[in-house]
Amino acid sequence: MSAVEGFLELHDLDVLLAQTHDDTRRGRLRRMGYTLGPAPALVRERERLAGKLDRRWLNLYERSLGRYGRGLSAVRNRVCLGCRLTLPTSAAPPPGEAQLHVCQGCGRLLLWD
Amino acid sequence: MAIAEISPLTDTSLDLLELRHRRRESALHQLVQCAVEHQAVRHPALLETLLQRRERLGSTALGRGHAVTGAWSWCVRAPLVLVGFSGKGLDWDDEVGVDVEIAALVLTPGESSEELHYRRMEAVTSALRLQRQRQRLLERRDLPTLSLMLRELPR
Repeated sequence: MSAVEGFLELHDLDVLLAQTHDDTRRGRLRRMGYTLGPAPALVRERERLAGKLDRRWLNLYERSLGRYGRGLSAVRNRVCLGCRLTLPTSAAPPPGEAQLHVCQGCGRLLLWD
Repeated sequence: MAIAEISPLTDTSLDLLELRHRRRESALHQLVQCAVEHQAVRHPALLETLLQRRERLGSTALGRGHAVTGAWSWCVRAPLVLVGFSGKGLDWDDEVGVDVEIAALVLTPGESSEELHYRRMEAVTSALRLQRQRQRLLERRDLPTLSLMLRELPR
């Protein structure tokens, strides 16, 4: 698994955990007819996954997660979809390569399309 | 006087499929593969993992033979709603033990807001809640019927 895929998976896990921990989200899902069980297994999976990721990138991800509620952002047409900053051409990874970058505007990890 | 012909555009954010398998995991795989064909997914394996994790938190079967699952993720490239039919019925871990005949997958890209994803989920769950609506969909199994049912779906 590449670092980009690792952070994507971590982000998905964080969204799921937020659904189980946040009363507003839980209530909304309950009204739709869903029942969410406890998530200790998800917490363990998150810890295990986070343990495999580079500590430096993980710190940046968690800082953005704490600040904005999301640690990742996609890039489309060189624009960070998190903060709408146009990124320099030199920031783009070579075609076909998935590399981690940080948005210079918001600090989120970038997912190049 | 100029006369313009307006042709109806096909709504590419909806689709129907026939689910071949009995197991929930296989049905989720088939739904994700269909989403890949629609070019709506970046990392299908990750999306499948996410959907399976969601099922482990609590089944997405909503009773009376239908299930609605969904994902708001960066793995999703474009909004898409897929509705799968199963003639044999799917073992979806329903509380009552009823097999699922209709399974819907609601995909919302990560760049959209979480609020939009919830509104899309609410639109699909409420459209499929009524037995009459599900029966009509099961009988007709066509896109116009689905489009009509999901006309309130936020795009």
